[in-house]
Amino acid sequence: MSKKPTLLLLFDVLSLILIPAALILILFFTPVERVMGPVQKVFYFHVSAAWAGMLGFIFAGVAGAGYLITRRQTWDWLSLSAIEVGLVFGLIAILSGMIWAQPIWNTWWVWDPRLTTTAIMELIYLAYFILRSGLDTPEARARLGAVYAIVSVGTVPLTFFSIRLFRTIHPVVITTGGEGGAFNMSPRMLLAFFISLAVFTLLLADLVWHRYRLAELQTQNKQEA
Amino acid sequence: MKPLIRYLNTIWQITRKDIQVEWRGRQGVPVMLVFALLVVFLFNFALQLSPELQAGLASGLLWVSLAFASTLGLNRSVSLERENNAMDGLLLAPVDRSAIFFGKSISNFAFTCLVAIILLPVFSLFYQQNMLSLPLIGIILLGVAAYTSLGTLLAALSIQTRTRDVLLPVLLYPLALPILIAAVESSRGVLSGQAFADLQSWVYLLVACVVLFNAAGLMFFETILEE
Amino acid sequence: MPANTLNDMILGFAVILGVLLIYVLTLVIRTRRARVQRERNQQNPD
Repeated sequence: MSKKPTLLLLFDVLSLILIPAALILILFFTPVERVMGPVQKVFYFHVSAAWAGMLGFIFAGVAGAGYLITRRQTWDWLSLSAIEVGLVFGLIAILSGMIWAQPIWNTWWVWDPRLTTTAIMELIYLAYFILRSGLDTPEARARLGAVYAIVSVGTVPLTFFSIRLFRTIHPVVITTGGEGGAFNMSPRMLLAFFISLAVFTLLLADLVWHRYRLAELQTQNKQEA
Repeated sequence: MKPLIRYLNTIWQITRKDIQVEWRGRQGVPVMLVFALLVVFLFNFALQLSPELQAGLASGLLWVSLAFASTLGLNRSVSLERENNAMDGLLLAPVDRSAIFFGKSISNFAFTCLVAIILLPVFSLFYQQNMLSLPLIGIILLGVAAYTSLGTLLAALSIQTRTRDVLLPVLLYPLALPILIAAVESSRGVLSGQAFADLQSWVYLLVACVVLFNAAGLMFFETILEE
Repeated sequence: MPANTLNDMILGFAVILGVLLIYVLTLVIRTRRARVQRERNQQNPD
C-alpha cells in the first residue's frame, strides 16, 4: 500500500478536532428549544448524518458510472467504500431519529416519509453487499455492483416521492402534537447546524478514503496470495 | 428505418420463443397462478380478512399476490436460459443485447398479466366487489410493466451469483417499493370510485417507473451479461 | 418551560458517537489485519 497521503492525515486530524468542537458548540452555545428541551440538540448531528449518508450513496452511484466507463478497479473501491460508510451514516440517522421521536412523538417509530425512505435505503444497500458476496470474480463484483449502485440511486427519489404522496393523501392517524416537532431556527442554531453539516461531510470523505485504502490493500493481498 | 425494424423483430423473436416454451411446457404460468391464489388464502387467514373487504385491502392483496407470483416467473425466465446453456446461444447471436432484455421483459409482462386477468374475477368473487373495470386493468398493465422490467433487469443480475434465484426478492422488493405503492394506491382509488384527477400523480409515477426501468434495461443489460 | 429531555439527549449523542466509534474500530482492525497479511506475503514470496 502506498504511504499515507498528507491530505488524509489532515482530514484525520481535522475530524478529530472538529467533532468535539461541534459537539461543544451544540451542547453549550445553542439555545435550548422552547418546547422539546435538550433532546432537540440531537437534531444537528441527526440531519448531518442523514445528509452524509445520502451523499455517500449518490457518490457511490457516480463512482459506479466511473467504473463502467473506465473499467478501472479504483472506481469500484470508491463505490464500495462510499456505500459501506453511507450505510453507517444511515444507521446513525435512523437510530438518533428514533431517540428523538420517543419523547417528542411518544413512539420509537413513525411511518414518516423521510424515516421510511432512509430505512428502505438501508435495506437496498444491505442487498448490495449480499449481491457482491455471491459473485466470484472481482471483475463481476465491480461490474454488477456498479449497475446495482446506479439503479438504486435512481430509485431513491421515486421512493421518497411515493411515500411522501402516500402520507399526504392519507388521513393522519396518529397526531404528532406541536406540528410534528417543527421549530424555527435562531441564527445560533443555524450556525451550529451548518458547522455540523460541514463536519459530517468531512468525516464522510475521511472514512471513505480510509475504507478505499483498505480495499486497495485487500486486493493487493489477494493478488499476491 | 431498417435497423429499427430488425431490432423490433429480434425482440419479437425472443418474446415468441419464451411464449412457445411456456405454451409447450405450461410450467410457468400455472405455478404462478396457484402461488398467487395461495398467497391470497394465506393473507386471508393471517390477517383475518372479512368478505366485505375495503377497496384498500383488496387492491393491496391483489398487488402483493401479483408481485410474489411474478417473482417466480422472473426467476424462471432467466434460469431456463441458464439450464441448458441456452444463454450462451442467445449471447452468441449477433443481436443487440438490450433486445434480449426487451424480449424477456415483454414475455414476463405477458405472463404476469395473464395471471392478473385470471385473478381479477376470482377477487371479484371472493370479496364481493366488481374488479373487472377498464381503469383498473389499465393500472395493472402499467404497474406490471414497470415491475417486470425492473424484475428482468435484476433477475439477470441475481442469476450470476452463487445463490442464484434466491437473491432476486432481496434485490427486487426494496427497489420495487415505489411501483407497489403507486399501483396499490391508484387501484384503491379506482375501486372506491375516485376521479382520475385525484389519482393522476400515482399514474404519472407509474409511467415514470416504466420509462426509468426500461431505460435502465436498455443501458445496462449489455453490461450485465458480458463475460 | 421546555420538556425535561436531558437523558434522551445524552442517549442520542452516545448512540451517534458510539456507532461511529464502532465503525472506526472495525476499519482499524481490518486494516491492521490486512497489513499483517501483507507483511507475511512479502516475507515468503511464493
